[in-house]
Amino acid sequence: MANLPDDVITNILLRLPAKSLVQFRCVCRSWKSLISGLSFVRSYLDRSFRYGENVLLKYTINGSLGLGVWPPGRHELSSVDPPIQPALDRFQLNGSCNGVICLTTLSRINPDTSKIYLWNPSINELRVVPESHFHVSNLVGFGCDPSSGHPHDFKVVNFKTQLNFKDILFLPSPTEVEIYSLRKNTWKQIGSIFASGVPKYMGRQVLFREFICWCSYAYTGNLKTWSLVLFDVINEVFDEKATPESLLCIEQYVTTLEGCLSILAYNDSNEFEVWIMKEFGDAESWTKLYTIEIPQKLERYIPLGFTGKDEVLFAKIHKLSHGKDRTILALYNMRSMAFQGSHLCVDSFSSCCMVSYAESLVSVMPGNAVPSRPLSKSSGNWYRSTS
Amino acid sequence: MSSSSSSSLPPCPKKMITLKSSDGETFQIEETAALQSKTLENMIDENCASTPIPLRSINGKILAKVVEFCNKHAEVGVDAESLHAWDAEFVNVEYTTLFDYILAANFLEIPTLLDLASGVVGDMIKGKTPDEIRKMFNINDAFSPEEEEEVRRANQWAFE
Repeated sequence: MANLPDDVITNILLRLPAKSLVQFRCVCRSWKSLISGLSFVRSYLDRSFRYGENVLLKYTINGSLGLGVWPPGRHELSSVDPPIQPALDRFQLNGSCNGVICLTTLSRINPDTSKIYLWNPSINELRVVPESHFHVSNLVGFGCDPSSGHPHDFKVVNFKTQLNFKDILFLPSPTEVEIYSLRKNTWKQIGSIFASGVPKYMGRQVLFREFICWCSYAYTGNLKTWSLVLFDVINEVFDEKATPESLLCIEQYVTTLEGCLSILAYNDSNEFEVWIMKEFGDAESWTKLYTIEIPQKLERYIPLGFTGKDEVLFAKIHKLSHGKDRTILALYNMRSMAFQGSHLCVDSFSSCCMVSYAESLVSVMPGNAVPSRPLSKSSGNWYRSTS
Repeated sequence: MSSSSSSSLPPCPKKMITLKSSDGETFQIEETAALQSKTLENMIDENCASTPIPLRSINGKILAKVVEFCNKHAEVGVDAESLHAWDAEFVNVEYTTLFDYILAANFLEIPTLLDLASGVVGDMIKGKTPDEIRKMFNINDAFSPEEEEEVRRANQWAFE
């Protein structure tokens, strides 16, 4: 029997799950170097992005916390083992890039023990980010510098702030910032931002090209003034842009849609206005695409996060007759303008957190062939909520 | 073709090309079906397809199947569902035969066949052990026992 040429082998292996490929590093020398090679890692990532991202969800059901994954087909949620078993106050998914998730564990009692991790769930690699100069805040940005050509050139942004366990975090003015680079494996302070002004609230991040973007507001009197805060991962500088001049907007959320930066603006008519910034960086180019109407006054929708495939994870909160709430998580597709896939009934939206990530071979241990120690398997109570 | 209508032009004769397998068998294939192969398309464009084209790396048994695949995929009016079912039947063969299809599709540059057969091989090997993979792919540059032990330890998680 003739042997298959390398490009044919590559074409076959690119179709396999990452876990199989980790196994197949043990087949022979040439397969090991093929699978670990940069060009294979990149092709695999491209293929995963085309195929669709997984949704990783942290939730609480009947008081116990869990972690689950919705695969790209959005069928049943399958529970996953968490990478760490923190006896800490809070576990937070900050963002993902090239299949790697940035998460933090925050400790209320001892802020010094709060940590930032980089985790690639597809290949079970976990890296603890070295201790930062400031305490780990509950707003941490995460992105990748694409200019180097290495898909693992990750950077983490930490803000100097009072540790605060409310869901709303206001950054002081000015705010000092530090950046971690995985390539250098060190933190660097880059000075302060928001030099003049008032404390700023920052929402969840989205990655757009080399920019980490947050929707942000500050109070001018009783009025919320919205803006878009951008961090350029390559040049390590911040910028601020105007958001669409949506009238009477109550909340704004940043995402990507149809290849553009997009904003979901909740207005006082009980609708979500969907806007895109047609020319990135040009605040004049904000264009309203359509609105998502909330079907009944008895429901409230809160966007928890977005996937790379134009989907929003909404927490749908139904007011029940006896004064209680029922919260359901469901994905809304902004292209087909409909909810799709399975639903999940959870205790409350505030205990939930999501991030979408692509199946990926990108290592968080570049230059180190041996990954972290195998993680101990646990089931059930990996996380204790403090009472 | 109906010959009753005398006013219509005579049907254009189908352009055929001839392929010759490594073991000397010849196969006729319509040019329209052959165009799925980039290799054959180039030869047709360069007018090199007027004489039988020798394909020294493909035997008659495999070439017959490749011609059958190209003919099926050139048929007009086949709905996607039945073509899908036909494809599934076509690749329902031993992996050694699939490898032959892949090699032929790679040589002739037929992306549909290459993708189809590669996908099936991918599904086949998903749950296999490294040992089984080595046998299947006829791999000789295996690790030494010590190296293997070390690589295996480093990637232990994937075997759990």
